[in-house]
Amino acid sequence: MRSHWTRARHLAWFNTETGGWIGEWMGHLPAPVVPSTVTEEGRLQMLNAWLQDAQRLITPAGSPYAVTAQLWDLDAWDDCPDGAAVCLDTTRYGWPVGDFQWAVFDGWDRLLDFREMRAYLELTPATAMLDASVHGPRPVRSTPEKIVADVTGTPLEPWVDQLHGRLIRRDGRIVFEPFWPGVPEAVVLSITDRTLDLALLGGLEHAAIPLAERN
Amino acid sequence: MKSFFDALAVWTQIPVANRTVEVNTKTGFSLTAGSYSVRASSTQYGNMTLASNTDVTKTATISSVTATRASLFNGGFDTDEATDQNDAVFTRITLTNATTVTATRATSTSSNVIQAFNVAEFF
Repeated sequence: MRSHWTRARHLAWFNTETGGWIGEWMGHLPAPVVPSTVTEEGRLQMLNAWLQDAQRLITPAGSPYAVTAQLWDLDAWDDCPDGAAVCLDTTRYGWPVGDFQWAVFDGWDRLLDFREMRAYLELTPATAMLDASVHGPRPVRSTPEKIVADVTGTPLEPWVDQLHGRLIRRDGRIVFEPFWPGVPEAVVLSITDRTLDLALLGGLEHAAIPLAERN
Repeated sequence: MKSFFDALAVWTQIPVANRTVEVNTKTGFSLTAGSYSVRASSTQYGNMTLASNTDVTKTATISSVTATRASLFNGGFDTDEATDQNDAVFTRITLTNATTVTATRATSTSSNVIQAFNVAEFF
């Protein structure tokens, strides 16, 4: 069933009892050999058997294969009883390792379900502007040009699409001036006072924030 | 005495099944693509503001998509205080790369413009 060729694969494990994510692994596995005469259901059965065999040597502690990326919830791994996990080959989606961490696997329907839309607020450090917001079921990662904060579940989430504005320095403090009206003062102040878990402000160079114009 | 690389060369010749590694006893079964379904995984919604008198381009960072199978849709735009046609400059949006959507307008105006977009990926 194995050949000497290897293929880059992206695997994800879920607990079939809770549906929760356990971990992801990306690396090179020995490629399966499936006779061309085997088609449809038989082919899938052979590939599933190959995957079950190949993943047997992959754990958070290591594997004999060449690894390119991996991410594990070690508590979820430890809490999962023997035989209760499912390993999914998620290569076809082409997403980075970690993108399945909020998905839930329904073993009854064999359905990988992204049930939650998460909310992200984005800051452009070069201009000190909160200027974009995105909702999606997968992680949005910071780049050198954008600092991204996951505000899901925080008091900012309901307002995330209106929380676009400038950060300016006034009297030694960072003040948030929203572009759009209607944002409650308490929400504006929560950014100004940096009292909420808005990690993106922590990544901003103080000097990059422009001084307020004097009236 | 064997060098590390000699030892590694010997080790890599050992069949994988015979190497001393921790065996995964957690996994009860495995499924390749085609043996399970994925739902509601592909759509992202976003907004970006082009600031008045400043911005002619703006970017938003999204979850990674494969450009050849992703579609970007214009979700419309709004302005905060446009009083005439000169303040309502239409924006163009493009999927710049796997994680970036860019909005561009011909000129900056005295209005803030919020541009909405959706990105859907098809499998």
